[in-house]
Amino acid sequence: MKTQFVRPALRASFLAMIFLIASSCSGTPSSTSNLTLIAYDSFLPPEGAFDAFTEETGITVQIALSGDTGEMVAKASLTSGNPEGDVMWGVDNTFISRAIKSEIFVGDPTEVDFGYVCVNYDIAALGETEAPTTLNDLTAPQYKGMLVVENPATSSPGLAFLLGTVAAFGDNWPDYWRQLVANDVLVVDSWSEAYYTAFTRYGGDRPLVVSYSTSPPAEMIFADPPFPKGAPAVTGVATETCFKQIEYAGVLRGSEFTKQAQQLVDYLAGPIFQSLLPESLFVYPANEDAALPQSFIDYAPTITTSYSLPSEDISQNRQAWIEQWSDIVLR
Amino acid sequence: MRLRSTSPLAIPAVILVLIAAVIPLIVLSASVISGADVISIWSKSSVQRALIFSTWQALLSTALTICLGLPTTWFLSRYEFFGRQVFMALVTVTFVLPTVAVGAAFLALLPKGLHHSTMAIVVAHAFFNISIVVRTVGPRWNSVDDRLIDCAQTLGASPLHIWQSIILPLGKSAILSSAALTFFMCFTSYGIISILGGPGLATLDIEIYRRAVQLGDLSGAAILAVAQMLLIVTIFFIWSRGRTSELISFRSRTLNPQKLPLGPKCFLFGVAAFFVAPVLALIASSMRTGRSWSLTGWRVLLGIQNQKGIEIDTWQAMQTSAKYALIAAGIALPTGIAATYAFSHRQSANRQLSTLTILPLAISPVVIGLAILITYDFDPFDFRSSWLLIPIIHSAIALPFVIRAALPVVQGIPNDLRLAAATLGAGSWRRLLTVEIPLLRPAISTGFAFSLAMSLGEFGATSFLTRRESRTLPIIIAGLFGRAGEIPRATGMAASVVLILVTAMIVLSVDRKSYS
Amino acid sequence: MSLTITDVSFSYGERSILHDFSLEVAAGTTTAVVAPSGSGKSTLLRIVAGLLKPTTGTIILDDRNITNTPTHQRSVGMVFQDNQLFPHLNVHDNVAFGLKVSKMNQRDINSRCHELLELVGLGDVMRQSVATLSGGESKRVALARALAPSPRVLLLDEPLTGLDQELHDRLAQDLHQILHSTDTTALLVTHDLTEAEIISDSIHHLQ
Repeated sequence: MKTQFVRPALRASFLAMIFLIASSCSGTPSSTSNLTLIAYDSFLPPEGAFDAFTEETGITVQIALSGDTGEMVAKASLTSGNPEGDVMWGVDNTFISRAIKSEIFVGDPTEVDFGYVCVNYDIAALGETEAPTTLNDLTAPQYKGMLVVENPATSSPGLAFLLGTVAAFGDNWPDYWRQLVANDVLVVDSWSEAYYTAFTRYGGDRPLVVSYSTSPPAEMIFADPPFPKGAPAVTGVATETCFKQIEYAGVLRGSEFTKQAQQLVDYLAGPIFQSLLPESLFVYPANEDAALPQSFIDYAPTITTSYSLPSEDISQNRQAWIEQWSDIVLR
Repeated sequence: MRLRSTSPLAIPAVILVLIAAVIPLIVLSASVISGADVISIWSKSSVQRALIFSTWQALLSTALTICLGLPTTWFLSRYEFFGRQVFMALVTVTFVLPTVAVGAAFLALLPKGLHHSTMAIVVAHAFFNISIVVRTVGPRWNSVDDRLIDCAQTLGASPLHIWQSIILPLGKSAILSSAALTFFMCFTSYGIISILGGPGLATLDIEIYRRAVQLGDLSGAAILAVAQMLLIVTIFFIWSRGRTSELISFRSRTLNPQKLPLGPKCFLFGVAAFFVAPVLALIASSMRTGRSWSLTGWRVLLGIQNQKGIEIDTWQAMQTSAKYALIAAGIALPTGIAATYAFSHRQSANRQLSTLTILPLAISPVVIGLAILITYDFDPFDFRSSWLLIPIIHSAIALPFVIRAALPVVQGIPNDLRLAAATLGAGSWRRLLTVEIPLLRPAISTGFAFSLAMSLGEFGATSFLTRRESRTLPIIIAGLFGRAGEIPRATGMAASVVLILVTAMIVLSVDRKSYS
Repeated sequence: MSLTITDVSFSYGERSILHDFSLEVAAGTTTAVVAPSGSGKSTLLRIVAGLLKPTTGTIILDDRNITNTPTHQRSVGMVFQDNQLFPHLNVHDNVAFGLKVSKMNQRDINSRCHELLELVGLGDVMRQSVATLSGGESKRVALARALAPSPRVLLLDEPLTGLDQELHDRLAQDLHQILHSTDTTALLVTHDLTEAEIISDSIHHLQ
């Protein structure tokens, strides 16, 4: 009895499945006139950023977002040799040696931008207290209970800040962190949480936050209502707490269109595209010919001393460092 | 006249689960797991901590969710009162709230002492999961005849006794289902815990993400993912074996027009406040920049004001979100309800199959994303660049919800009705349209609302597979919350409000007739 | 044990359903209220059971005014028109329901159930699921369940409607006999005069 009812339902379900499987094969594959650029999910260059490239070469560019940098590299390592696209944007120096070891690129990737992860401070909230400058300042009693950092296990600025302390203190970095803990450092899982819930500027109770050296110009650009020209900055940067992050782009191994892909990489590193970077990704262009916008000149501090580590070291030790850090800081 | 076998009806659902979860996980495991890790991974302290924490916070969260959810469900499914529809929509909408926004709202509402505590997590989990209870148990209780309760009263049963001996037992299978779903939602919770929990508190899912992404330990991540899947399936297997479905005839009933007594009113008011407060906090912060009120966030979001550095197309995102959600529901509903027919039959093989459909929920989205990537990477099955992959994954995630919402309803349809329709000469297609579908309406609307909500709010798998020009609302929100400044923050809050409103409207329009 | 209903009125908003209705049921007897459908006789039973509150009037059971007593403390038994057997309990547990509430010990519950089911002629279906019962059997279980806690008054709402003629007549006879043998005070509402004549001792017509 019921079988008679079952049959049509079954048929309908199967038709639906077949339709879906059939139609899902229709992606837009790369071709000589269409390249796929893989990037992390916050890669948002302005509309028309690739127009000049398309005009010059006749190639259109599709952007595939691929999660955060870590997810993107994890995906790329898995699909090494049979990639989802032709060019990858934005592998930073904390991940680049893993990427190179997994042979995801053809040849050496190109440096495309850089930025600094530094402690930022809320000028209004600090009031009379003098702003910190160095890593050692942060352990001073007047900054007790003021700093919020991100967990290096889950956040890329968090990892960068940890690496900065490793570069600064060498084998003694655990002691430095013990002092930070004694000074009541707060650890949260993500940059958004640190900046938008813990930082005093957005209603939290921590006037010091691990963020980027370009956060102050962003605060000025995105202020509402807008600040008058030449207004003083609302946040500042502790200029000797910075870790330098460098991002790379490269042609993916396995792309059928290596020649065109290399043209795209050259365009990404060229002056037209590079000059768009500061005010869309809030990073510094690697290409020295690209002009800096006024907001950066006015509000982004010049970082003269920054910390860095060889990317092989990072790759080899990050797991151990993170675990050691967790044991010290997270009880 | 009995059906010989309904098992074939489960095939589409099984195929969906195999394609979207099982096969990719097997392929991934085979290619990345190294034998030595299988034992050694368990001695890592972070793994042990995650395992213990996952379990006990999930137990606690489930208990609170059920305690708050059952009375709420009873009043919602039995009484007509002013604002009932809105309340239903509100409860469902929480399901899709972006965790970043809700996390911020919760932090604003909770006293400082509870920040970064297990308590905060448990409360937030209850907030997110009450709709599972309302949606699963509601249709069941709605079909309980009032006079059954009158009858128990005349036999001397007090209200408390009626709950114990009539109301709870009649909802038992639905309650257990919803408890199980809630448990696994909490066990695999990701966003809530990473925002409210703080760095010391990590679930197994977070540990899997950390290993896969930050540490590059794919082998460890895959082992943990497989282990989590086996654990959940085992528990579900044991769970579904011990249960028999009660026999209860399905009866569409009108809601009690009587006024709610004062006690329940206060209770519902409290629950409503619990749901409204974070949403209000969210709306308020979407209109606040710095220390003043401003609509700039909304203007940027709606494209009225152009803001250099913020590139979003809200209409496109809403269209994309709606498209994915509709396709996901279009896949999950027929497959899920068809499968429900197979599972509602009391044949042990089928019931055990129903365990399988929980799988998509049991595997971390990061692992699914990675696994799919290396499974379907050869012609003609190179699906990696196909946008359809996203709604297909969404539908697999929604599938267990559709099945569990439909099961009590399908079990309640008396076979006599079908026979009666057949004797009146209705053909199989007509019978499907005129008899089954109207009776299934509560299941269809519940399943539809669930699938839409799951898809609209999904972030993990989506962020892995998006194209720049087809970003969904949650992806846009995460992007906005990822940069510094008052305008991106306010715009992100406004986008969250839009996501809530869009979902609420869809759910409301689908839902209007669910209990009548 | 007697039931006295005095000047009971009930209205839904503007619509008056019962108006100054009075009736007395003597102890150990069965009174039938006969009226066409839709005349408020079910409402009357629900008021006596305490499931509805009368707009005016009083209900007195054994010299005690129970007008404001909650249903579960009234000690009334009720047989519903469509039985309302608990679908999740078997026959025995349905009958035992009212006994368990009164905290009777398990042995006494079992013997009382047995006694009642024998009385209604269903000694052999104790462990069956209620879904497998026929219409007549369901009615008997409902009766046994209502009688089990020895209510002070038994309310019967159209108890034989919907059964076929033969079964109807046999059950009416049985019902009369059972109510008599247990010395139950009972109030029956029905639209069927002959049914009322067989079961009850006195008949009251409701306009």
